[in-house]
Amino acid sequence: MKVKEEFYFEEVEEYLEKNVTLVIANPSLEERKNCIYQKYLNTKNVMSIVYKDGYFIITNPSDRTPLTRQAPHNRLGSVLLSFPGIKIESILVDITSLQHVAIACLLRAILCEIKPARLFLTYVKPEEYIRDCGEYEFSQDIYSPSALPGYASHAKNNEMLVPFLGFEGIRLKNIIGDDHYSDINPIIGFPSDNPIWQFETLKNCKDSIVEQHAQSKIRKCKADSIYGAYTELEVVASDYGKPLVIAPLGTRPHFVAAILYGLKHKHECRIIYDNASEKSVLTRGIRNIKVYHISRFIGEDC
Amino acid sequence: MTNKNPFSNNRAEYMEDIWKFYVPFNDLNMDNAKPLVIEGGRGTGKTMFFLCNSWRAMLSKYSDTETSPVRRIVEKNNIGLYYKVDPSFVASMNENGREIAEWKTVFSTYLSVVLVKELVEFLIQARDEQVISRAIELKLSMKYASIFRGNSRTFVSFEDVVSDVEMLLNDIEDVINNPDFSDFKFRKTNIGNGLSGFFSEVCKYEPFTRVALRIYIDEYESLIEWQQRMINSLIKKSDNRIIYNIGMKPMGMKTYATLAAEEQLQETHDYKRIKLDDLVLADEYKQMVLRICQKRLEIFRDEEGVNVQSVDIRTYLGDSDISKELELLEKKEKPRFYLQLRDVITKRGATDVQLAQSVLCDSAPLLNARLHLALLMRNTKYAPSVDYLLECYQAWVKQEKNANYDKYKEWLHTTQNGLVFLLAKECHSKKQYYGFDTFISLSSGTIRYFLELCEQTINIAFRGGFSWENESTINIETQTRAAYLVSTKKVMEIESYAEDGRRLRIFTQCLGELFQDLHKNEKNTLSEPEPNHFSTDSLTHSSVVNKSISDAIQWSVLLTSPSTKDKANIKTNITDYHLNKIYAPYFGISCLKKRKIELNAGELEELFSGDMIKAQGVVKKFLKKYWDKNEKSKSEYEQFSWLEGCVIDES
Repeated sequence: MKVKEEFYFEEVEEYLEKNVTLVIANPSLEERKNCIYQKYLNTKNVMSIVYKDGYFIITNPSDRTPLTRQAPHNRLGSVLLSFPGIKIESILVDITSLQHVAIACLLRAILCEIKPARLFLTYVKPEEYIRDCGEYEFSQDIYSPSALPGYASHAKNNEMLVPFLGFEGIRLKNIIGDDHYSDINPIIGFPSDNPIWQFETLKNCKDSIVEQHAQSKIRKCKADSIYGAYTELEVVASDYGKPLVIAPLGTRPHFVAAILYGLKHKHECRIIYDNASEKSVLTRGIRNIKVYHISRFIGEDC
Repeated sequence: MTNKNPFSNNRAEYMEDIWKFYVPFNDLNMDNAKPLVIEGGRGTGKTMFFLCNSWRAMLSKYSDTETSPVRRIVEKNNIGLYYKVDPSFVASMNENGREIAEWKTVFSTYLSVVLVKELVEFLIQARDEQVISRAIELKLSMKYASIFRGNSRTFVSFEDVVSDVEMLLNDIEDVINNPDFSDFKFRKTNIGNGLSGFFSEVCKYEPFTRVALRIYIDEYESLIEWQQRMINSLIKKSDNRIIYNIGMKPMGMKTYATLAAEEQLQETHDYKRIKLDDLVLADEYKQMVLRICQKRLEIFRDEEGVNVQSVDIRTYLGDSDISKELELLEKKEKPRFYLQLRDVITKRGATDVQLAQSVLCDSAPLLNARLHLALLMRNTKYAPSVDYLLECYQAWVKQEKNANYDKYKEWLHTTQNGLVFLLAKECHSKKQYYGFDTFISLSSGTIRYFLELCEQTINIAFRGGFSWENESTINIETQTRAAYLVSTKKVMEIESYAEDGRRLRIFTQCLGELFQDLHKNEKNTLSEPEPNHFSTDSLTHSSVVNKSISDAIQWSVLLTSPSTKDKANIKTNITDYHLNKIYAPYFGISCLKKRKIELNAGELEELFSGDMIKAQGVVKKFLKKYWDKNEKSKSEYEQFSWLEGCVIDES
């Protein structure tokens, strides 16, 4: 029997209210990113995590006397546990408001080290993305493709690149750069909540896709589905039997899928990321909130 | 009829049987035992050269012969091992609470095992071809065990060794991902020792006793500085048995230091440096491109069975003769400048105004008429009088071979390319980019760009009915469309250059627009035609500007060339900087080396600021100053209007 693992917030709100013991979310100027933080600030133990200059800065803003501690990526779990009064039975992580690097390292720490009884993720979807001069430009800077902290893996022969496509075509171009892959299988978030989003994504990534002769290899999975993306990665890996190089440039749920896949197949795939720095406000409004129950990944051998 | 394109595959890494497409550089002499440091931008052929000298390409090359391919390789006394730096992996070997000394041992072990793996995979071929025996395989496997596993494990075959290398690499991954991890599962080796120890054992057995190992490390620029120092030590230590060669982008060497205190790599003494970008200055580049295209067309003809009429790319591209573009422009509606020219002649006055208008304007071909307007508008002491211009033009028309004829010929020669830019704008047409020489120039020494230009030209030509069976030159509009397409793509691509992308894109856009205005502004009198590069006083630059220039060079956004003479007195700047010429069609500027402008440190700082508004501000200010200067010289001239009609000889 297939167990439902993705929900709308309203379906599980009551359950979360009763059971979650720790919420990890950041405040933000952007309405949707601020949503989970504000919702639980006064009722739950909330922790915030920001990555800066190679370290994570962890704060517990809901405490009367907020503490701030610093941790390198490999001590994130132990430093988190060192906060007084922390209860880790049931953790909720808001992937909307955390930086990508924080999501990656936090998931590794929670799933492989802290190992709570239950782990939920929330993703708040926007009503609309803000265009800059008619274009979707979310990144202030992009950097050379690199490994996320804790996810370094050496290049293997005959690798296949699996980029999750995002709005910004230049990020895909940067990821491909001068590297050689035996094959490229892009994955696009389709359907998404607004048909324009996937068309815009395809339009902006078209040049690189055509250049790599990958037009006929584009795969799709729901833009907000972690499990859909995860399954798609498993299918690509089994269809081609090649080591994967995953470039999670798409939605945050797709980023999480890449991380979960990377943890499960740590010596068989690589995750490369451009550490793009996002502008502070990218969207307007809130469309809906998705909740993902990913407890089945707890205790991965990583 | 086929519409397959022999130019569609233009990246070395994607080519099957890469050696078939390889054309060696004359300068890259592999008999030289000195390490090579090959410097070149993207697409200049570094990877092609390295891959084609690696054992894998050689094996493929010799696979059709009766003699064992491994023996053929060994007969050359060289085994080439190719390693492309794995930037995301090696960059992870840094900080995270681990001492640098420890990272150094991790890096040196990693490098040793990946190179040993590459060598062992060659030895597997040798064993399969029965060049070496099972007994030797066993001895070499044991040697590997002693070097990398301290004899804690036993290996009986090369396959065992290869799978152990994979395990070792996984162990290295664990060490990188868990900086607290101190219990290394692998035996640490010093830089170079692991490979040299293993290779010494290989050399004990025939037929490898006289063989040298040539290591080709590609994308050296991606290494962290201390990793470069380690490689530099290997270059320094290269001997006639193991020679380390590196390939990198321009200015990719962050340090010349080695691991030894106060020891530096010294060019000529320790290595031979080859700058592929410099080849563009030499005729050799043109010849090489011709040979590369010829090979592709021959392979295409033989393998696809296409009746290619000519394997000389010049047949399809033709020459870059300006008259072809003028022919197109002549077909357009007569531009408005003719009216202006008539006016100017009237205002400037002449012995016979009507005659001057008729000869210099009404009946003059497009190019000549536009030249006359530019000359008469100069309004400086260098402007000819209408009568003098008429005499010179008539001498030129009649081919009288006197001083007037020479003068007119000189005017035409120095301005004709610039005139075409003005004419294209005034005839509401696009500037045309066509012909083999133009494509050579646009490609800026980057072979891949030339191939992309050809690829697009052929693709577009197919849509217009082009066929390989008919030997004909592809029309200039088709070539121009291809040039614009490639150029636009390259300009857009700049933004994807990690870390520097946006900054370099804004810089290129603004500088390109500045040059565009200098080419096409109607105030242009062509006394300084086609400014398309700049020089700057490098001694006044801040470190930020120096870093920005260096980044732009590394990404081949800017190209350098030795400075041509400066008009002012002795200057400290010694380099001219060009926007990569592949961007020329996008901006509609010249792709030849023409006049330069000077930019000061402050202007460059703003252009490189990454702030579009600031950069555009510099362009506006510069252009205002530039055209105001022209106006000023005009008004100065007008003070001496009683001199009008007198000719001051330029000579």
